[in-house]
Amino acid sequence: MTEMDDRLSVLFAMDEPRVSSPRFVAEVMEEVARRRFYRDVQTLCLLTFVVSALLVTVWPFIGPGVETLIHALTPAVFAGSVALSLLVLTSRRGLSLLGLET
Amino acid sequence: MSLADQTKDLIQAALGGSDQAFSRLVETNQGALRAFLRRSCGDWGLAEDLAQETFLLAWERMDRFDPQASFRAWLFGIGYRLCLAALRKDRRAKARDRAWLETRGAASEADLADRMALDQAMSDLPLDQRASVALCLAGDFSHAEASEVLSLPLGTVKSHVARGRAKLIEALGGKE
Repeated sequence: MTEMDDRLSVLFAMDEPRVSSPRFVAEVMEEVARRRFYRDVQTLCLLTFVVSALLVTVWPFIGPGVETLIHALTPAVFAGSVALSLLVLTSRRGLSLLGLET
Repeated sequence: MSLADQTKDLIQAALGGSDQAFSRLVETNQGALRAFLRRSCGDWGLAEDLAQETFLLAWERMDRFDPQASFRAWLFGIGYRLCLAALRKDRRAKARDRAWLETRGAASEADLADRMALDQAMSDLPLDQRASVALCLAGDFSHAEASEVLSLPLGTVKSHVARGRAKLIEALGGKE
């Protein structure tokens, strides 16, 4: 390595960015988070569209069956909801979860 | 654990969706990548944008990365292609010269004169020669790694580095 090579290395080193640059890293990661969010929204929209299209297609065939099932299950679902609410309201943990415990 | 092993672990974790691991990869490589892009495209503002875009593209294409290959070479390859595209689109010679001078840190007059001579000489080099010099002389890339980054034959990179070095030394008033 000659003297001029050393001089070149020194001059190149003068404009090196700092080894640690939290701001740059933060900006990149912020943009990563934004892109992931948009990607997730796109996926969810696509999924919703596919499921909706599927339901529209099969509803004439499964619709009557689902309606019968709903009518049959309504009393049981209602009773279950009431029982669960009572359980939550009367337990200490339930009260503290609701912020009602003093 | 060696640096290569650490990088492999980080890549595996990033492939699994870990933002923390990807953030570490950005932190480890940002300095060298930004320096390379600054020297290759000559415009500091543009280089910063390109560096950010390089990492974002790397994040999006992480699943295409071959874990056996060099992550650094793959990353710098993305950066170089972005730089080529940007320079083809917009040759900002004046802005580049201005930005280069504005961002200059405090230095002695002799250093400043040498820096300006070096900057001028760098900007006069053809882009692939400049990129070869930026990787092998200013950075710590081997000729083989640079050849991978720039998609150029090894012999071409070696000759680019030798010719570029000679021109830079000449610009600084030195002799071989």
